[in-house]
Amino acid sequence: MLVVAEPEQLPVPRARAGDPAAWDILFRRYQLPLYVYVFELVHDEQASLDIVQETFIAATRHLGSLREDGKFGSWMFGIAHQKCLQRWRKQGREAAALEELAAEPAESGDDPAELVIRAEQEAAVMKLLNQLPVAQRSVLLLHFVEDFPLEDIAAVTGTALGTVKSRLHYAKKALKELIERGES
Amino acid sequence: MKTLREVLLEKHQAVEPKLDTIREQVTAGLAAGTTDAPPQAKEMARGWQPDASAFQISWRRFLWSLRWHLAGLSAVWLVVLFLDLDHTPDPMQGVTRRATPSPRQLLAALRENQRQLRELIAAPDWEPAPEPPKLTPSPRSEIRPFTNSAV
Repeated sequence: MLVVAEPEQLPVPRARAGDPAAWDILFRRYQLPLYVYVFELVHDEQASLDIVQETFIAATRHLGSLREDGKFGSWMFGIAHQKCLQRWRKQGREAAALEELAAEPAESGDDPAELVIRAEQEAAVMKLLNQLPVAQRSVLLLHFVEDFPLEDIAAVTGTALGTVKSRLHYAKKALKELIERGES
Repeated sequence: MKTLREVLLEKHQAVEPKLDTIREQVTAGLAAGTTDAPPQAKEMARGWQPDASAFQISWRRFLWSLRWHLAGLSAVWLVVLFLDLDHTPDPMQGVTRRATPSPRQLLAALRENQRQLRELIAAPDWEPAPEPPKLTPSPRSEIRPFTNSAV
């Protein structure tokens, strides 16, 4: 069962002191969203589990580099994102995966909850999600799964804010079109 | 009606037991101290010599920038050392060689000494050369000296 806690309630200071119970709470909170994000990028269950484990270990080792405790979630996703890039680099897929898109402003008033999906649309939405370029998919997942602000998504993916806005705009547009087509 | 987040999390709900196992392994390792020390402890340890770490980093960067030069110099020195060992005789080795001649050389030296002693002590065993005949000078001319008897 997913345990959701507000960022300010997460025991990051206790984790800094090396408290295993605090780490357990943090990992429990982020394990499934992290897995979802990684799996939807690499499409390999075992590789995704490995990346999640590597992310946990890296987090315990490098928590000292986190400046704001409130950014713990995006910081963890940033580690996982880097692990995915390393995996692609090994497979020689980085160039294709990280293709840049033309910058376009995002639509104002976007809310992850606004995009509702009916049960019969789920399969089609997942299919479309997998058809999106990796760069767009990454931004879309971070936006919808964890509702990270655009600045945090830019930090996680290591891209400019404008690029994040552009990618999110294209990805949402494609999803909306699909949902509207389904409704009509 | 669901949000995309709900759809995604439900889709992967089945993998939660595996994720629980991973989480438990990592936290157990943390509790047992098999993973690295907590970062705060690391920072405290680092705090004892902050300048040393900065110095080490700059020193490493400096050496790294000179890696090809250092490798080249090392190679040259190795070649020089190899050539020096190969062609220059060791002076100590020469001394020991001179100090301990081979048995054949010893025998030859002994024979030479014996020969020289024999020359010095014993009489020469060869015949003396015959004395050259005494030459009487012939008269300078055919003209006989004048004497009273001829008259």
